[in-house]
Amino acid sequence: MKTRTQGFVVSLLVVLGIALILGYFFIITLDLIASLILYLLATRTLDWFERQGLSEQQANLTLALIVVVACLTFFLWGWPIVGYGLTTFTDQIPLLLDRIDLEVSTLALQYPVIESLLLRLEESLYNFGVQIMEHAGLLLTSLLTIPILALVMLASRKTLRESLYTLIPNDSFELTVSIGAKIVGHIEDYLVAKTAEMLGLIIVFVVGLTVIGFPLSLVFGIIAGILNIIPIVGLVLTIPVLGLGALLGSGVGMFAASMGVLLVARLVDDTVLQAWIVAKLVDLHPVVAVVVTFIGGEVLGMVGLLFAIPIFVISKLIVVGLYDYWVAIERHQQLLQE
Amino acid sequence: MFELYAYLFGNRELRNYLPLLAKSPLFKDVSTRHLLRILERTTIRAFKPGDHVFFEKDPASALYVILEGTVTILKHQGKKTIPLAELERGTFFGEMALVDEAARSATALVTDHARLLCLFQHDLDLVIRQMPRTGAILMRNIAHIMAIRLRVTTERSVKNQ
Repeated sequence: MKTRTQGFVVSLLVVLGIALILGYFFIITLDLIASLILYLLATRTLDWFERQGLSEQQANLTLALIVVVACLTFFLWGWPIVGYGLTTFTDQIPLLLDRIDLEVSTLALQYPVIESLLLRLEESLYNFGVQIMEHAGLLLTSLLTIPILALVMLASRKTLRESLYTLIPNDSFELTVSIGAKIVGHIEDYLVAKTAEMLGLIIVFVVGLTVIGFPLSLVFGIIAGILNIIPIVGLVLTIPVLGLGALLGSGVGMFAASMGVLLVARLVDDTVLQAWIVAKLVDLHPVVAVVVTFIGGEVLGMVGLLFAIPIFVISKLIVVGLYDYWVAIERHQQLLQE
Repeated sequence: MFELYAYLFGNRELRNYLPLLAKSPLFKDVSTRHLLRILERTTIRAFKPGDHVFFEKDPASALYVILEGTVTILKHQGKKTIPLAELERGTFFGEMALVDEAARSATALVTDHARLLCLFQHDLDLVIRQMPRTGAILMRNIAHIMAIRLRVTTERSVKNQ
């Protein structure tokens, strides 16, 4: 019992120490996490290709081809549309602000509470915008760093595994590998499932918003899709974003139609995407999800809202894995004493 | 032929063990080409006498082929430790957990300086999906050895009664 408790507490402190260091170097941590996600998604795809009968070289080549085609498609087709959308959106900001002022003052006459709520939202959006502008240089650097890091990890996939194995003592080799593989497997499942859910939602939103003639449907569809992977809170955040977009169109009518699209997207998410994904996710009570999301938002703002659930899920897996590890180590010691 | 394949495709350490692995009951009837592809996914690990490869009730994730040395399989019963088998070069162990995905049923103790080839469950799954015929041969070989070990255990328990 003593070994288990001591070992577990020490391991938790080490993990906490590492987390604090990573939190201090926030941007580097985000780069590392993003490249790790990219690496895990790539290895999962490579494994899938190999399961379909391709050799390692053929799988690498196929993935490289897919990435090249996707990049070319984005730069030749997607980027002009998104770029045009963003330029149009930027040009329309003064008009949009006037429109918001007008709508707010009309609504505020009837419901005074709305004014303070919208002012708070405006302030949050402004602060988020300022943060993005402040870190624009770092974000651009990250766009280069992330794929390079992921590529380096992919290139040293085998040696990386072998190097990690050499760090493990013989007596706990299989135990560590088993628990480590379980944790990494769950994290991979979670990331793959969430990415699939996000892509599914983006498609539903883009198609739905385009059908109803929503302005800048591609840009707003992508934003709404990303926001909707945040459990429950994402839905609440999507409403003002679509409201903002609707103001560029015909106003209230467009907003009502976009709420229809939101409803369809939620139905698709809850009945198809979640039903498919839920089996792969770590069980998380809705109340816990909301509380964790709010805490994340309070501590790290917009970034916290997006990352609170994945951080919580991954931390939970690591803590459970560490506990299992120390229970087994204690059992080893008991067996050796006998 | 093995040497040529190993020289061209394998790493130096595996090259030394290829003839042994080709004769191992685990890889019986597996073509050299496929054996090399399987070996690409394995790890060789060195153990000292007294090291434990795994303990009873541990979560399991690998199968081991003994390349060098000896390994004793032990079963703990209360405060007693009963040796079940002493395994030598060329034999494999730890296959049960890969079949039923349950925890380890016994402890594996290294009794002489050993080098073990580890084939992890994830990699075995990949082999089965990638090369179904070879995967079927591997599973048949595993089942064959398990059947032999079960017969021995049954006979032993009958004699003890």
